[in-house]
Formats: sequence, structure tokens, C-alpha cells
Amino acid sequence: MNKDEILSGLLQEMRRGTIILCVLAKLRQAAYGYNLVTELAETGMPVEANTLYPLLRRLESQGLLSSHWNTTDGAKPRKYYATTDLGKEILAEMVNHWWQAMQNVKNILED
Amino acid sequence: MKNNLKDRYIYAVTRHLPVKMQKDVERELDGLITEMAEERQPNMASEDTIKEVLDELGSPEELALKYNGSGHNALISGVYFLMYKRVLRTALPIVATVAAILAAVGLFAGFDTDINIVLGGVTLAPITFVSRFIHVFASSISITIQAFAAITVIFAILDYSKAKLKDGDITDLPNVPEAEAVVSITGGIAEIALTIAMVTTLLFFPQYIGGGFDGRWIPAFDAEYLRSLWLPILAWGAISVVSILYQIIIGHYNIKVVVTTLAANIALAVLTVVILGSNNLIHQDFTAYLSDILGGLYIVTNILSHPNRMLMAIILVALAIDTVDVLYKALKR
Repeated sequence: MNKDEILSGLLQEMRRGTIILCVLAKLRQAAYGYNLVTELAETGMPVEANTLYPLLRRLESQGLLSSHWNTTDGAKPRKYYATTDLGKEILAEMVNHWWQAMQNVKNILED
Repeated sequence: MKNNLKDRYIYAVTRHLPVKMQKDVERELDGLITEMAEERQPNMASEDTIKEVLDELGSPEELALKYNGSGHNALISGVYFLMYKRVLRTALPIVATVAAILAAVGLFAGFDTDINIVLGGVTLAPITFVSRFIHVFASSISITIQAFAAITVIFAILDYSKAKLKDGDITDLPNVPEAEAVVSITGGIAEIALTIAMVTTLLFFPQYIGGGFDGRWIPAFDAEYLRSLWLPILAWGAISVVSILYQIIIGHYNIKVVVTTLAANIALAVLTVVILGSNNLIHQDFTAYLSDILGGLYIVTNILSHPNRMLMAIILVALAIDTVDVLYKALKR
């Protein structure tokens, strides 16, 4: 395994924990799965569809997301997800922890 | 029939998911693949573009695992864990029920009278209805645990051998089978339970197979002779169970299932001839009893003078029908 592969694997691991945070934050406004894939990619947080779709379903089963199929106006049927009230509460807690963790990491890096 | 690459991929994912999730995931994946393909080729996505998208999504088994949230590095992991869970959910209640019925028949019919409940070195007597009930319950639990262990070992071996997850080209995915070409887990488990019940009855309770005549119960089989055939009878049961389990694991009728079923049925046919070949198998009184009740019907009496051969013919025909049925279902795909 060369240096690039190692770095890529480590960065992927580092990002993994933040995906849920980003998804819950993004879905405060309802969106369908592929729309979220492209939006996350555009904001520099690319997540593969084969990771995001099962994750959306898991968050839904935990009650953090709700979903509905939109089949109106002859459009393609798309499943829209949105963060629930419980999801928003969890998100707020996670954000607090996130800032705290950022500060801790900063302190360690500047030691 | 939907059999393009996208449908085959979606089926390969959803077949491993719980039934209640399948339709929704199917619909969602259909939309996702279409959008990803259209992004690459806006008007009419070619099969090559679809393949490119599916390659990006990765192996269907891995995607199914992500949907299920199952982990790796376990005794049974991957797709086998999903199958294992489904088989256990169906098999254990059936095995427990069949075991309880057999234990109850054995106990309350007085077949098994050697029940000694020992507490702290003291044998408790007499044996009450409650203690018999506890014995039946304990037997049922014990057999169920053995079934659980056997199923776990089989799946652990399959997982260890990694015979299943092939990292082949995505275009090699099998076609979406017709509904009738899908192996029914419930049906398969019921067949296994029936086979176990039949083998157990033949080996341990053969005296209960027979008929009543003039207030007297006449067993159909010569119990001594039948028990001397314990090895071919056990082999018969084991081959049947393994063959059905293989069908359940594959999940649909295909050429592999046809070949294994054919091989199993040939072996079962040979064992059937071995087991039922001798006239000594049938209790003499039973043959006489059949002749008496069908005395006036010469042809019927003639046929029934060798009931073992009649039974053999029925089983051989059933095995032939089973083979043809499996072949037909495989060809329907």
C-alpha cells in the first residue's frame, strides 16, 4: 500500500464520522437522495451513493429522518428525506460536541 | 419479465433484504441508477453507462450488507449472515414444535418410561404429569438447540469456505427469476421438518404406523428389521435435508440446483430400493390384514401382497416428479 492509498484511507475514516452531522444539517430542508449526493459533493464533502442511501434508511429507522415519496406532476418518483424534530435535537447536541472536539484537536495540534 | 442489467442488479441487492424493505429499496435504487446514468448520458442511457453506474455502486452483496448494517469479521458474516437469520427465524419454531410433538407422543404413549428426575442426588418419584410435561418441554428445547447449532455450523463452514461471494463482472449477474422459480424458505423448512419427523418415527416409533383390525392394532413394519436398516434410513434423511438446505441457500432454481437435486434424488432412489426392497420389512400380520379387508378384490390384493414394493414405487415416482419439477422451474427462469 503506497502513501496516497494510506492517506486516502485515513481521510475517509476521518470524514466518516462527520457524514451524519452533514446529512442531518443538510436535510433540515427536505431533499431526495441523489440531490443530497450532489450537494454534498459540491460543498467538498463527497459521499458515495452506496454509502449515503443505506445511511439515510438507517437514520430514518432511528427516527432522525422522515421520508415521503413525491410522485406529483408526472415527475420521476423520488423519495424525499427531512430531519425530524428528534434529528434536530440530536444535531444540536452533535454540533456542540463537534465544536468542543475541534477546540480539543486544535489544542493538541498547537502543543 | 424484467431482465435488463439494472433490474438484475436491483434484484441481486433486494433478495438479501427483509421482505418489508424490498419494494421500497427497489424503487429507490431504480431512481438512483436512472439519475446517475442520465447524468452521464442525458437522453437514453446505454447498457455500458448503466454498467459504469453499477460498478460505481459496487457489488450487490456489499450494498445489501450496508442496507442491513451487518458487520464483518464474525463467525458468519456477509450475505450468509442474512440467509442464516432468515433460516433460523423460520426453522427454529418448526423444529421446536415437531420435537415437542414427538417427545409428547413418546412419553404419553408410554414408549419412553425411563424418566428419572434427580435433584441433589435424590431420585424423585413417582413421575407426575407435571414432570412429564417438563420432560417434553426440555426435550423440545434440547432438540431446538441442536438444530440451532447444526444450522450455525453449516453456515459457518459455508462462510469460511467463501464459496459464495464471487467478485465477478457485474454483467454476470443472474436473471431475475419468475416468482415460481424462487425457493420458498417456509416450504423448504416444512419439508425438512417432515423428513426429520418421518425418519424419527421410522427409527423410534415404527409401532405407531399401522392399522386397527378387530380392536387390535397391527403395525405395518417389522420393527426389528426396520431398526437394522438405521444407517440407510439416516442417510436418506441426511441427503434429503442437505439437498433442501442447498436449495434454500441458493434461493432460486438454477442449473446447479437441478444437478444437485438430480444427484440427491438418484442417491435417495438407491436408498429407497435398499430400505424397501425386502418383503421382510412388512409385518406378516399386516399383509394378512390387508388381504382380509380387500379379500374380494383380486387385483388389489395381488398388488398389496407386497406393500413395500408399492411404497417403493410411490416414492420413486415422487422423486422423479420432484426432479422434473425442479428442472421445469429452473428452465422457467
